[in-house]
Amino acid sequence: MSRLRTNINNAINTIINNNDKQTKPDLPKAVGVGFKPQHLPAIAKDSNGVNWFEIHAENYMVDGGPRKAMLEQLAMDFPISCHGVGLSIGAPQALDRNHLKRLVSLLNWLQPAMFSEHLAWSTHGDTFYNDLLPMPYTKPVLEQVIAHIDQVQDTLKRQILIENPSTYILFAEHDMTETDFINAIIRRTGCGLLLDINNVFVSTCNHNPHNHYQSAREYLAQLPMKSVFEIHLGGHSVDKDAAGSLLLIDSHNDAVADPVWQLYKDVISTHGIKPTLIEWDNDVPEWHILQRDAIKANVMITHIQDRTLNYEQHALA
Amino acid sequence: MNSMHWHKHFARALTAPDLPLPDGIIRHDGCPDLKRFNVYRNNHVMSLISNLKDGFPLVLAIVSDDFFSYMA
Repeated sequence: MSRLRTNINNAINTIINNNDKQTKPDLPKAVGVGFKPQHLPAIAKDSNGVNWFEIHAENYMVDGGPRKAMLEQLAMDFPISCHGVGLSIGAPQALDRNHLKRLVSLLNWLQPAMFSEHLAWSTHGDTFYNDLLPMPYTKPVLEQVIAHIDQVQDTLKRQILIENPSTYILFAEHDMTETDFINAIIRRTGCGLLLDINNVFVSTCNHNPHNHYQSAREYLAQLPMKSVFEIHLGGHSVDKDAAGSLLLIDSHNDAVADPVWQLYKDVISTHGIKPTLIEWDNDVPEWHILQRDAIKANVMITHIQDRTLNYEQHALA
Repeated sequence: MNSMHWHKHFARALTAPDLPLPDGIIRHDGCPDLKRFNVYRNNHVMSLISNLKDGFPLVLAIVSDDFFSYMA
């Protein structure tokens, strides 16, 4: 009788452990797509080329409802990366404790493979601006950002990733470069880097319009690539500033641009494959259009993997 | 600007299109450039319009996307 009870208990524990969301896999070193609820039926029919999904945390900070049910369904089939857009880590004011509580609750429920936020601010006092705004890269601001990241990581009890921003202006009071600022954050807090290659291209074009491609390569060379645990690729739009110089806008409303693909290829050739997200948040197209960019990234990844394999086989021969 | 003032000045100018560009906001050649700052102002307005559209889907369906944005 006692053996039977032990067996039953073991079986129950096995079921519980198998259902335990803690056992969800890491983000695969493959291609993911930003999840839009309207795509769920198409995803169920054909998810070819897509290995994981990313969601915006703030869209799911609710107790229940159809949207959260959709996410639950998606999370049963795919690893999920959770991307925050509202913590306002760069604002020189206390983090919103209620927002942090909502985030803890969401992450405890979802147990995503990754959580990331932005090197940006979006609040002043109680006002939320629903945008990712720039900050001066100075020592006092650095200390504030580090304190905020420490607080978030302590509260969430996990490493978070911080995404490099896209910016349109500079502050005269900058006393360090953006890459020095990012390196210091990673060194001091132990957080990882979410490398948004479109943001690198947008910012370097905006701030070095006469030599932007080289500037983007130099920017990338100054980043701590071993701390990059996810890559974002998105679309931008093209405009001109008041002086007629190139002004790129991080609009996420188009396919990934060719120079961004080229930079991506350079990064994964040199530093290895990283989990890679295709982002398309505005004027969201049909699922198969998004899937096209995902498949394009997969082709690049496969090409790099084949080249590495050939090199290793050649070295062994 | 001290470490708090940049935040206050930026936030105030963001929501007040009549205000001039905050001091110390420049482009790569050191000059101020209102068009660049207006990208942030525009993003802010567009996000408010987008929230309105989310809140009134039926009105949006009746009057069309362009007209709703114009009204907003």
